[in-house]
Amino acid sequence: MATTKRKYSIVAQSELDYENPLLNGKKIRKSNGKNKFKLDLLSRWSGDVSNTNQYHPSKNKIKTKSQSTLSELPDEILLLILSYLNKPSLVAFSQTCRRHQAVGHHPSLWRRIDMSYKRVDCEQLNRLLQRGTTTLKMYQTTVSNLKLISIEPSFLRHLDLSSTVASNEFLVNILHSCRSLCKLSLESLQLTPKVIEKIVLNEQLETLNLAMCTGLTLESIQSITNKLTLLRCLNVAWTNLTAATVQYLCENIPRCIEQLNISGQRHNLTDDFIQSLARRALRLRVLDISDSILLTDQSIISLRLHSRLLTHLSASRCYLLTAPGLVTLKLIPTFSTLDIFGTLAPGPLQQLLQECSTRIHLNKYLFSNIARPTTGVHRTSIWGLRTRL
Amino acid sequence: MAGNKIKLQSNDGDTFDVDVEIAKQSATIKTMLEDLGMSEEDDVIPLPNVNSAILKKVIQWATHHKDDPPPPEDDENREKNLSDISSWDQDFLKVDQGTLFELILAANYLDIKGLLDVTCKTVANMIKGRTPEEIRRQFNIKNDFTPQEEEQIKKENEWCEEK
Repeated sequence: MATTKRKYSIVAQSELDYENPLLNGKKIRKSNGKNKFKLDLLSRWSGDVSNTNQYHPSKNKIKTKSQSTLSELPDEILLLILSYLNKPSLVAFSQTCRRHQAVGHHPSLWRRIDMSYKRVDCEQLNRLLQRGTTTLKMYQTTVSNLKLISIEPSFLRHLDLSSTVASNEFLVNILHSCRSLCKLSLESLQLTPKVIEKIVLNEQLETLNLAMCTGLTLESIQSITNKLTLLRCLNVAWTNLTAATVQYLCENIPRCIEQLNISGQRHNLTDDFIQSLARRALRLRVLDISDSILLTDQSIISLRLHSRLLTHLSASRCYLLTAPGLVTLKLIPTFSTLDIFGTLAPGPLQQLLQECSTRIHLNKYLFSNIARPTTGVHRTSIWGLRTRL
Repeated sequence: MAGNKIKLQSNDGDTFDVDVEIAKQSATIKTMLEDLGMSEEDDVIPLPNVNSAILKKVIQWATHHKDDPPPPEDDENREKNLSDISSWDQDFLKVDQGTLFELILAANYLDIKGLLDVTCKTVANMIKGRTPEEIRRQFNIKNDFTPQEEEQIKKENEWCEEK
């Protein structure tokens, strides 16, 4: 019974195909040309190609040399082929004809882009973002000031503008197009109040890297701490903050912060501020306070008392810290990594090494990873998401 | 189970005896067998979208790859590598373009992921590193852009050209 039924249904399907007037010869190609511009995300891989009006076994053709051409492949297969190409090859393919342009601009092919070291203008960037890019790496990208058009609302969620060579107008422009950023890096850029204003519109922002930026004022930090309440990772290393700004940041840091790099503040980070920070940021796991030359073991006591989730502390070149003070960090149950390059003389360092339990790694990371998009060997990824040209 | 055979019938009427386990690399056939139940050995599965020549190739491929582990799921974080086509597959796919595209369509219809991946990669390799004009010649594509449109598209994507 089952057998008969199966045969019947399949034959019925194929008969339907033969009756379809679209399924003959060149008519199909023409119809493809027009209809196929409508791009749907075809998640269906299995199943019947006959539904797509693409495949048309013709009785006359059998056993002659096959005549199938590229234009007979349905969009979903073209997309699969194109997914193997890098962007220069994809672009060349898109330039061959209209249908290929339509398929070649499909959002699934443009989600993650690496334009590091490239030269681009606003119009080109706008065109790219309208294809649905969500993850964009613009490390050392040069943005030309010609064609300063305003960038339309984008789908960007992860944006790395580290060391971008661009005008301030451009920064405002691209940030203005973003409303749902999760992760943002502006490392080494010149910031203005207008830029900060655009950043804090992304209320879901969870990672913000402002390492080595200039122009961060008390007002900027107030704006960031008040508006970005979901911030979990923040890097403000070497940003030349005033003492009052550092104090404000420590006293008002978003409560869900888990990773904070506030290194390089020289004389402006004090034991009192660390105490405020430790009391407020109870979820803190990773902290970098390197190059703060006023900090003493008092700061270590504050962290030991309040930061019960701390796993990783960097306190390189904090010359007033001592081995007996640092060793008490092992009392924090989760603590596992301590970076103190240049902090202790060889003797005390040796002493610390002996007293630390084997659970604690000493001097493992020379550079901070906090909130930074590209670290270590994963040069083509940002925040662990692979991007490519 | 071992040694069980089924018959696959091409759209031009030829039937092929194939090990069930080999045929099941096609998710389409696997579903047919499992949904409809497989009992008698003389069951014939008609494949109205595949002709004999192509079906023969598909069976040849599936037989060679019968012990392969299932292909990995697609993951955006995995580099898509164009050069990891086995030498057997490379030889197998030294066919004219029409046959290659028909193999792709058959792999898609029969839902054989491994064959679909390797055939698509082969086409991607034919596109990679070429100019639009070379690609048009390669695949006999008619340029239906106006010169202005073509210029516009070229400009729009200039940034990603390799220097």
